[in-house]
Amino acid sequence: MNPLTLIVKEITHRKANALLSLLAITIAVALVVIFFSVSQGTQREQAEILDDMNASTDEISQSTQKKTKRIQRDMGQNLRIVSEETDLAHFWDEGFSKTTFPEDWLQQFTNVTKQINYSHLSAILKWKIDWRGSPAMIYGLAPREVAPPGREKPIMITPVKRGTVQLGKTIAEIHNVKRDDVVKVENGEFEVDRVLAEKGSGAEIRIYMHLADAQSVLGREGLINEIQALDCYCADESQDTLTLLREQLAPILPKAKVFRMQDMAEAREQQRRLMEAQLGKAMPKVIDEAIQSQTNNLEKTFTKILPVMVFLCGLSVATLAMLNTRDRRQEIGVFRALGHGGMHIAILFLGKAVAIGIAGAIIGYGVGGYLTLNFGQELFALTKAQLGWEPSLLIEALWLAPAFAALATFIPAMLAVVQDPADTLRHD
Amino acid sequence: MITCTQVTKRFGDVTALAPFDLNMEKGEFVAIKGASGSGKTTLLLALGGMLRPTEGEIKYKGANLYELSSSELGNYRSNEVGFVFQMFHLVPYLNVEENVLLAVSNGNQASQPLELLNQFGLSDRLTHTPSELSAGERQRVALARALINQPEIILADEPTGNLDPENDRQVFKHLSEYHKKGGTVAVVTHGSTADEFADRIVSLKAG
Repeated sequence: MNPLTLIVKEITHRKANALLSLLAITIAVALVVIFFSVSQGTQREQAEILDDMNASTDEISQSTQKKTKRIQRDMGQNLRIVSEETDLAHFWDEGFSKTTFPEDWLQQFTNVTKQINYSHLSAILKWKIDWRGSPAMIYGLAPREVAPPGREKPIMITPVKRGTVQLGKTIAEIHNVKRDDVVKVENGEFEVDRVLAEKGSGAEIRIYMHLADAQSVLGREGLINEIQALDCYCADESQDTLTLLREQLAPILPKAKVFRMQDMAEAREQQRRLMEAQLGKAMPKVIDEAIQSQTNNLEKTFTKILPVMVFLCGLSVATLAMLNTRDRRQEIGVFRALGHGGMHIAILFLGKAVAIGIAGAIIGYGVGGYLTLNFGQELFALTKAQLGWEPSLLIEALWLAPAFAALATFIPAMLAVVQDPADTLRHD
Repeated sequence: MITCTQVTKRFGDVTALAPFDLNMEKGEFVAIKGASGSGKTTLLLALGGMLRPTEGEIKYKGANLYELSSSELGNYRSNEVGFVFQMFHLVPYLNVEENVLLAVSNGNQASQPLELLNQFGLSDRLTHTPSELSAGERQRVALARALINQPEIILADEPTGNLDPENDRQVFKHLSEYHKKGGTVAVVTHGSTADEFADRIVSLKAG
């Protein structure tokens, strides 16, 4: 007779034993399914939270960086390039160089082949004059910036239209000049395009005009006395930025020297580095650590409870199998008397365990999945979207549960195999 | 056909079967009688290849039973011998037909189970489980199971010990019919019904 038929008939005959074994396997499988489903759900949830947080952090970081860059850009260029023949004492005292140089020096920056740290280069001609009896600074500004190859960016200067001037607030007030007035500067007449807001700096007495106009009124056509620029935030922290800038300038403009407005530049650099460190790395790390800590707590709890529960389930299966073996002593004796070998007896017992294991795997997967879906949200503080059926667990349960049941039944099955049939039949 | 030479079985200090000689010819009906504890069942199990004697030897068709390999011994029990027990030992979760078919293993020249069960008056009980049968019916199922493989020898241990006189007689009639067809029967019994059917009565003395 087919062993499978015998197994099925025996299971239906001794229902209580089979059902209790099935219950034990179901509990073990359900616990494992809950553990892994919740664990995988937690990982997905955390990955999503982390992604969201990272995206938010990135967004905040990018937005803040953009705003910071804009604020820093509005602070103005921080590099000043003048002729090497400049009288520096005069330069620092008066705020301009009396030594001019050709305007087309600036074009040298468009021919560089190496990466340099200069950007937003603009030609300036500024000169201190006496205007209506008080000191003023003509500030001739080229309408376009020059950028080294690959460093083209939106211009940061505010160009001045030809034939117009923009006046610092103090000088405009001293001479009672308003917008749209026509003023005479040296030998030229200009319309006041704008009176600037109070700056609290040398800009208060500046007369901004188009570079060509400045060159004209100062009689210095084609000449400038300063190139202003912005150093990019790309130097290695270990390098001295000013040294690097000077090394880079030497082959481009050998007869010029560069000064860096160190306080402004360093403040700008430090602020950028600090912001990147905080927003780009520190925040995600803190969030990641917090989430990891929560996961570890959950896994620690499970890894303590789960083996104990699975062991108890295995012990229950083994005990029930032992009882089943005792219950079937005479039956085993008869099988042996009818010529059935030890292999046949082993197949009957281990086959029963495997059959119950398969049923337990399917039911346990269903129960575990149902409990996870319906109670996982409340018990493990997970969103429902992250909890779902994990088909891979069913596949694993379908071979692990029968193996587990067979392992738990192995000793009782072997006792049945070695049972002396004469001992049973002799005492009937 | 089957020969016992000085077969002895001891369980520790207890002698279950004193040195015993027996020679059974093919087609012989032997009744083994004796007081309780004289070793009747022990002898029967030893003859069935299920209990190795402490001393002596049992030969079946010239071969020492307990020198056979376990698979040869399994074949002997499956094909050459049919067992009938006092407590029937039917498998409780199988019906009548399945209990009989349980004895059929691969390569056996088995009888037609339905025909056999019909001969035993069980054709209307085929789908019944042992718990739904009377004691007499259960023993007839056990007899059918023992005969399904058309064995050379039937070993019956108190086959009527739990039966009323009517069923007692009926069981012996079935054994007699098998015997008349050339079968060999060794039956352990307390009762006197066997005297009527047996060719020879062997008495065992305790110890």
